[in-house]
Parts: sequence; structure tokens; C-alpha cells
Amino acid sequence: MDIIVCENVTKIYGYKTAKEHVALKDVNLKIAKGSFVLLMGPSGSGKSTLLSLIASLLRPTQGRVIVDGEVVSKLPDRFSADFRRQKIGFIFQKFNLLEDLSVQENVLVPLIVSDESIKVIEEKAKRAMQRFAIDHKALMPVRKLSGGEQQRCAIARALVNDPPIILADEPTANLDDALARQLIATLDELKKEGKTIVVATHDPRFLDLDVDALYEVKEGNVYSA
Amino acid sequence: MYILPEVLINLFLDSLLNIFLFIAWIAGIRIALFFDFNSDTPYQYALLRQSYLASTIAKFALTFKIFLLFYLIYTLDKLSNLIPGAMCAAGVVSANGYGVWLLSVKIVNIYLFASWLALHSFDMQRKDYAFTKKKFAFFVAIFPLVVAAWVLEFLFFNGLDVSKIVSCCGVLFAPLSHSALALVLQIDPKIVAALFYLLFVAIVLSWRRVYLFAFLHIVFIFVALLGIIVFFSPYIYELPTHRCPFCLLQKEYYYIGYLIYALLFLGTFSAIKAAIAKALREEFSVKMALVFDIVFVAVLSYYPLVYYMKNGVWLL
Repeated sequence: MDIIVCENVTKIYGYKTAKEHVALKDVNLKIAKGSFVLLMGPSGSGKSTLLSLIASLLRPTQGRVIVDGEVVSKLPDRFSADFRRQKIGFIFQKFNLLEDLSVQENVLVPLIVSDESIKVIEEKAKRAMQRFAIDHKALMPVRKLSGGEQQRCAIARALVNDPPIILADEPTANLDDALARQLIATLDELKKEGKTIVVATHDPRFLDLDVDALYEVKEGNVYSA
Repeated sequence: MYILPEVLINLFLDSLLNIFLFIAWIAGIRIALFFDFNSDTPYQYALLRQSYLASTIAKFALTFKIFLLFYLIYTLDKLSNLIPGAMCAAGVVSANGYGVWLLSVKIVNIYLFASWLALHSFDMQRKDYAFTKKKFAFFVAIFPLVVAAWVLEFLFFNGLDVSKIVSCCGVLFAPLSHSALALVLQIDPKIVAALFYLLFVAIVLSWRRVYLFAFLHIVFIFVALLGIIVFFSPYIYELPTHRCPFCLLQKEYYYIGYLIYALLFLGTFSAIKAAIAKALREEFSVKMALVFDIVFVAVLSYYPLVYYMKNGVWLL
């Protein structure tokens, strides 16, 4: 069963303006549930745009994106946040953490609008922090953490809602070799738990993994590699 | 034209809102004609974006216009200090041929605007834009009335003549006058009161049948206005001969008219919204309408009851 489907997706930034830039051209892509997929390609090739379209952070110029049976490319903005909260864990290259908040507060952010009780929410955050070995710094402001700790905090935040899909955009770009390998191992472990993992990267270390599909993204086109 | 700050505020705000509504109307025509949720073309995505912008503009402008009607009534009341003969907004409205039309179109408009807002709120609850085409078709259809009210407003304020003596509400709403209302005002207050309370009971009993409930509310708008003029207003003014739907908006009567008319609007509109919801197979409880109705009837009934308790007589 395909959990992510892109049908004839084109994304043009500044469409019909002088600054028009084609980021993706007529992309067709199907990603099976529980698979580990790599999107590889140089910077500016359209990988991040594709992840943002899947996460409903952007809308395509043409075509449609279906995630878990829902057409997310046309999802009204007021529903997008809920969709991401329930279905998507997004690991960003630059972490995108709220620097003045503590680790615990950052991890709690996706749970703020949850209907669950405070006790359940705190328990979930605690488990996520324990899992990624950042619980000992729970009360420390994020800006005081090292790069690796910030990355673990970002992963804990992405996974605190237990989303079925994890999107990672250049997740190893800011990490040293040991931390990068640790992160790759973590993603592999999550795949074994049944999560669907889509990683946009040009890090060749990911090729050591037994991935289910590898796509090359080049000048807005996606090729099966 | 009187350049009172209130008049300028009315004209300026209405003009400003209409400029925004015109922009939304242009987008609305495109959306009403070409919106197709199943299409994945660049044009459809452009329409999706435009629908969000146009809806937002229409939502805020139409909501503001509902409040602006109450401000217009306040302005008319304020103008009564300048126009010879006028004691309240009634005299000002009758000062030229556009006043009654202006007020009528504005009242119809607030119900249409509120209906559009109801349709919009149901559309916002859907992920599939189920009512987007309908709501923009409706918006395109009601926009000419927005323009009509705007033109009437200019004509009305421009046509006010300070040298012309107008009739006061005591003349306009007197049963023996030659005004168009005279025939209606000659109806026995007891019959009007009975009709008012019977219709209210019928509304309460019909709450399970939503379309009937809404229809009775539409009838109730007219019966309630008649009830206010013929039966309730003498108790509010504590004057058996004073029948006016406008004086109760004045300071002397603690601006109670604003509460009465707001409750009437909220009650009747909530019933209409419930009917719209049923037609669209959406959920909207009639409880809200019932609550406003009960408060409305309670506020109005307070005056004759207190008067009777204080004086031991009815003003019939």
C-alpha cells in the first residue's frame, strides 16, 4: 500500500513572474507504507521542495500529493497543522528549535494543541526525551546544547506524536561523523518499527543502509536510481 | 450634505469596505464559474489561494457591515438634533425619499450577510471545499445589494435638507395619520400582543422541525417589529400615545433598543442558520435561536409587566 503518492507534481516558485524558478517538474512518485526511501541529489535540485510538498508546508503549482489517502496538496491551511501533527515527523537540517525554550518545552510544542491531559502529554515528552538520550538536559535551554544534542532534541520533537511518516531534510549536514552514523542508525531502527522514512540527502553514508527505494533528484526531475 | 463626523465615518467605512468587497467580488465571479476541486491545474491552485483571500475579505467586511448598521441607526438618531421637526431617527429617515429604502435594504442586507457568513462557516469546517462554489455564487448575487445600499446611503445623506421641516415620530407612527403605516397601526394592540405571544409559542413548539422553525422566525421579524411599535413601545416610553421603534434607541431609555434589535436579529438569524445547516446536511443547533428568542421576549415583556405592577393598568 502506498502511503505517499505524487501525481504530476510541478512546483514553480514565483509562477508567472519575472523570478519564476522551476523547482520540480511533473514528478510522479509512490512510496510504500513502512519503507525507507532516499532522495539524493545536489543542493537546489528540489529535494527539500518535495519534502515540503509531502508535509503540506507548500502547495504545488500543478498536480496532487496524496498522503495516507488524503489529498494534502489542497488541504486548507487550517487543517494542515493537524495533518502534520498527526501524520508527519519532520527533521530539519538546521533543527528549527526554539532556542530560548528548554529541551522539554521544545519537545512539548507539537503536543500543545492535543486533546490529551497534561499528565499524558508530559509522559509522552519524557519518553521521547529518554529514547533519544536527551532527558538529562530536559530543563536546559536549547541554545546551550551541542549540535548533536540539538539534533537529538529535534528528533525527539519530531517523534513525540508517534507519527507514521518521518521526513528528514539533510539530517546529517550539521553533524560530525559519529553523530551522523548514530542518527542514520536511529532512522534505520525507526524503519524497523514500521515507520515510513523519507530522507533527502546527499550524504553517501546513507547508501550503507538497506533502503527500499533510492531516487535521484536532478534539476527538478525525480529518477528511480 | 451634513458633514457630521458620524456621517463621514459611515460613508468612509462603507466606501472602504466596498472597495475590498469589490476585489472579493471579482475573484468571486472567477471562483463561482471555474472552481473545480478535482482539477489539479495551476489555475485551480490559483483559485484555491484566491478563495482564501476573497473569503477572508468578505468575512471581515460583511461582519463589520452588520455592526455598521447599528452605527448608521445611531447616526440617524444623532442627526435628529439638527433636522427641524425630527425627534429621533424616525423623522430623519422620513426626511427624504431615500431613507426608508436605505433602511430596508440595509436590514435585508444584514440577513443576507449573516447567511453568507453561515455558509462560509460551514465551508470552513470542510476539507473538500464542498460549499466554496455555492458561497461565492451567493456572494456574487448579493453584491449588487451592497452597492445599492451604498448608493442609497450617499443619496440619502446628500439629500438631507436642514431647511425642510420633517414629521416627528409622534406623527409618523400615529394611527390616525396619513402615513403608509397608519393602516397597520390601527390594529388593536391586544390582537398584536396575542399574535406576538402565539407566534413565540409556535416557534418554541416547532423547534424540532427546522424549516418551519426558520420560516416562523422570518414571520416573527415583522410581527415583532409590529409588536414593538403597537404594543410594547408605549410601555417602554410610559406614554400611551407614543409609538415609535426608534426613540427606544435613545439615552433616555438607556439605549434599550440596541439590545432589543440585536436580540431579534440574533434569534431570527440563528434560526435561519439552522435551516441553512440542515439544507447543507451540516450541524447547527436551534438552541441558540431559542435562547435569544426567550431573552428577547423576556426583555420586551418586562416593560408591560413592570408598568402594570406599578400603575395597575394596561395601556391598551
